[in-house]
Amino acid sequence: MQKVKEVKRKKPDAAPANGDLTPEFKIGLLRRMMEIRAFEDKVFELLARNILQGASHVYAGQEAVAVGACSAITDRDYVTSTHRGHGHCLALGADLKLMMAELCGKATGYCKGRGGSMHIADVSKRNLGATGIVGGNIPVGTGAALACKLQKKDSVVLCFFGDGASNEGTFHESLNMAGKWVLPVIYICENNLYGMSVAFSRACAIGDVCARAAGYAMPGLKVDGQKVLEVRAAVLEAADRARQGKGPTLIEAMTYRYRGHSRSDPRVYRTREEEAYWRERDPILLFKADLVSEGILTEESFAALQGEVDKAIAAAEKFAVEESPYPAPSEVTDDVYVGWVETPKGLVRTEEKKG
Amino acid sequence: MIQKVILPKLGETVEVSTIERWIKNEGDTVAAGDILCEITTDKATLEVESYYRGTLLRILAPPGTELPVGSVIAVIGEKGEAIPQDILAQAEAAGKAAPAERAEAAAVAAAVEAAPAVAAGRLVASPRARRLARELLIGLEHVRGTGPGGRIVEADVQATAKAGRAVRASPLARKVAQREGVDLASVRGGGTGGKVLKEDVLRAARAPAAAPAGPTAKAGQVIPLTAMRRIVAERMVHSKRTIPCYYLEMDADVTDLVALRNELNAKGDGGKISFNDFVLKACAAALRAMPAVNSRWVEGGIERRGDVHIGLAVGLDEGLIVPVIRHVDRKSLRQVSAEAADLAQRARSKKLVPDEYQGGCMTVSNLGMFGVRSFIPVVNPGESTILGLGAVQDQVVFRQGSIEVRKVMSLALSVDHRLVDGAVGAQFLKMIRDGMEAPQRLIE
Amino acid sequence: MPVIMYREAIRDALAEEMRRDPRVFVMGEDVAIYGGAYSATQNLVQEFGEERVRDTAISEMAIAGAAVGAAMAGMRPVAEIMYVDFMTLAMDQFVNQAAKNRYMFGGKTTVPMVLRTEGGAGRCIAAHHSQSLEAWFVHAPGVFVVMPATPYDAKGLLKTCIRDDNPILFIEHKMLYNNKGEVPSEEYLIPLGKAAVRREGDDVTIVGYSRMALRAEEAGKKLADQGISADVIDLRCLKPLDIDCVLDSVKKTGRLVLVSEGYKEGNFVCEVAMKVMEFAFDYLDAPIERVCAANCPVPMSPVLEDEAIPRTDKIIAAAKRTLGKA
Repeated sequence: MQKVKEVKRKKPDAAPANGDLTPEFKIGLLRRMMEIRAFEDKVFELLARNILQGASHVYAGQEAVAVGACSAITDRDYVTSTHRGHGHCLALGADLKLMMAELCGKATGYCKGRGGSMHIADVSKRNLGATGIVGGNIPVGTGAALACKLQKKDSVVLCFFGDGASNEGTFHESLNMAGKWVLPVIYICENNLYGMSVAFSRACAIGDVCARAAGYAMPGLKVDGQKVLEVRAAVLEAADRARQGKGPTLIEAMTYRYRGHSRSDPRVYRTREEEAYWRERDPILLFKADLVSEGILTEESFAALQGEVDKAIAAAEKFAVEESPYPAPSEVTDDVYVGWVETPKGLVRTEEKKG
Repeated sequence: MIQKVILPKLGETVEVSTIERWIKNEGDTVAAGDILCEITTDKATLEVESYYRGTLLRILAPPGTELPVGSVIAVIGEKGEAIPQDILAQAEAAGKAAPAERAEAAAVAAAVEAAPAVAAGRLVASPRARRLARELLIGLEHVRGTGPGGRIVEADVQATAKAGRAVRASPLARKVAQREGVDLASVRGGGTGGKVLKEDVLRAARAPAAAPAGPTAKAGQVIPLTAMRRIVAERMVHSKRTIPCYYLEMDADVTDLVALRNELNAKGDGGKISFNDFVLKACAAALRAMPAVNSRWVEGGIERRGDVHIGLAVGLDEGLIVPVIRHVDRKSLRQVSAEAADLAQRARSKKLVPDEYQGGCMTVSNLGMFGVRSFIPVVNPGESTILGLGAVQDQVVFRQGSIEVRKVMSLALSVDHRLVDGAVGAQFLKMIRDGMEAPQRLIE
Repeated sequence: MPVIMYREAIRDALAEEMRRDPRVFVMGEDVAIYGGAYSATQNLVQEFGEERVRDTAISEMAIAGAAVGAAMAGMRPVAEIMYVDFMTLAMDQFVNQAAKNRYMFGGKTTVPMVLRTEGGAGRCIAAHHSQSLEAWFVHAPGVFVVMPATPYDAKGLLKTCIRDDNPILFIEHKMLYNNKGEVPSEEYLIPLGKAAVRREGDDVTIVGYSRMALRAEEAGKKLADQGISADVIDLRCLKPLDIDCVLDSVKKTGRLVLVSEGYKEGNFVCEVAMKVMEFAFDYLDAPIERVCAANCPVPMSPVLEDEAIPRTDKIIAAAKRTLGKA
């Protein structure tokens, strides 16, 4: 009989606390946010130029949430993501080229061109995937946490979703299950104040998502989603709780998406004043200011960093748009199942087809 | 008063006529001189007038029925008058020929000559029926449908085939052929596309033994094809065109086989076992052992046959037919022998039914009796291989260290390369050869 | 050979697989203490404990979705949705997440989960507890659908499903739970995608699955008394489908009757009929017949319920129609 190998560690293997961060680490956080921003701006441009097909929901403005949260977990933890998931994927360290290729529907993309923007996943980095269904990933993340608990690992699951999803049935069923079964999941609600066009205040019966935590026997807290270290601190603490078997946490990160819901959105439901307010609270600029005042960063080094990021994005664009091939049409039904392939007569076992 | 309407003889040589359509219907009032119906002879369409006054009580011959002149085709009388039973019985019997087999064929013939399955001008037949009709070269227009709405189903095509309808012939010709006891398959058709007409049947009836293209044929004369000739030609062209063959030759030492056969026949119990019977059993064992060879090319892939049916080529004066012995693997040598002999005899007298010349997995052909040393036979479409046997010859061979005289026969195997590759085909032939060289096992 | 009930066969399959592989666990409504609404998980919690046999809240989305997540994170969950009628609540998680994740993520993940549920009419519990909704799930590329009719098949197939790496909907039938049948005590597995031939005949092919396979077999017996020999096939697996078994039979008989408890319109058997059209058109001697449930919500009254779902006499009548006999 198989025995589950129990991972015994002398010391909990967690990410360093905010107070223990090196300058390099912090610059790294900044750089990651800049990469996400540049990537998303590039995506928006390629969409406008119709080089990118389909829908893409850009994360610009919310970088601190993804980067802060993902930097607080380790490589034995899991993440589930949303339709606005490029930020989560990149924050975990995904390759810019492979991401861009996936968005372009190319064979070299993370998902071989099959998932595209809304269903991007990097399973090797334990990103269990984005989903096109609002709230669709919440039960999945909860289930992954259940697996961690059953396997007696001290892994945790970061489950991202938006303010809109907090009104979906999946949110309520999942949080109830996690609260009752004391699961190691960290629910991170990125409250960017709007579902698609409907403001959170018009959709939700109460004023805060985090207040709902009380209904599901877990702590709930609200953080400034534009402050990367604040997000990070909250997630660190929640991860610590979860690893000690104390169960889930609901974190509400207040943030803003600079662009519309998708490229076709003229954002008539927001005022330009509001948008300007949040532009002033640009997470990259906020953190940059912090690092400059700490003496870790200068304008020159920032510019140099920006230059590197821009080069990397350009390389990613070149790789994806010019150098990568589309998948072969004949592969269209590959990898639907394990061990079976599609033929005109129906499914046959893969071995039979080869032979 | 009951009056019989008789099918008139409208012509000196007219012996039968076909009811085309009824002008008057059952229940109609008729006066003397009214036209009752139209009939066709082999020459013309003519009208039948009523000699009686009264009500057309019953029509006994529906449109399409062909009857001898003088048959009762309708009954006229007073409205509500009862029709005597003997008239009705007579009408039924008129359609029946004497022997029971012929009766069945005639019943089918009558049914066939009734309106074929037409629904609003379209021929309605199930896909399965169409497929069978294609295979048997039967025109669906000759088949009467018994399915819902007159649809032709498989059974209808089979019935048509059983009644010897594999040949395109006019209804009249069929009737005459039946009456004269002529096999339509042997008749040279003079009509369009080789269609057999009444004159052709009558000619054949007067000279049954004439070979179609014998020495009496004049130079430059084009002999029309008999159905059998045409079928053989079509199948051989199809085979050569579509089946990529390779050919294997092997010699078999049949000394022991000949001796065993002589021994068994000397015992005298049961019929004579022929050389071919042994070969059939050897082939059956090989087909059983090598399912890859017992297969056929179908649309969509290769069909493994499972059962073992083998055809044995029989030469006839006018052509070639291959009766199939079914389940050779399950039958004893004696059974196979008896069946092969019976089938061959019935093949020569043209009394085979479709099941008996279809469905073979492979064919065995023996031209040894003509002194042929070896020959390359043609694979029959639908089969994977064909084995050609040459004459048994005494040969000097080097065997087990010494020189001996042994009886040797050439085996030639033509193989469909789509189904069977060289190595497999060679193994197959070897298995047959080995079987023939160890004939004791074939008896079991 | 031991004779046990369909529900015992399912329970035994679960127990054996849980003993064999610690990654296998069970969750659903009332599966632990209560032992399952139809007793299919009886006594499991006593042997395996509450960690591995979990009673959930009434939360179908969470049940199905948590199974997806747990499967992607290394476990092999067997979750239960009490009635197939409630699958509507779990649809997104099963049809959009479970079914599609492997493909959308470039083949780089698997979702080895089994969702057990049950359906079917016969208890007069009406429209929300009596449906046969397999057609909806066959229509989702990425999941398999398995519907056993006998205790032997239930056990062998459930074990195979648990060991398979694809997301599988295992639909039991409420009227079959107490049916008894021979089930070997030694371990055995039944491969996916293989139908079972219940009777052999030459005149007509009758194809069914789940409870309707048993009615098809009954029809076959009664037809034999009337001189009609039927090939009766129990599909067992709707996806992957053993279409070759059906095609071989139709090529032999030329006539086909399809039986299903799903509503007639858009029924799964239309897919089978279409495949027969595509691959055995020239072998059909009569139009294909289907015997399905009436196009109405399943009624409560026993007389109406009986009329709404395929009865054996209707199967017999359909078979006879293919033979041109009224």
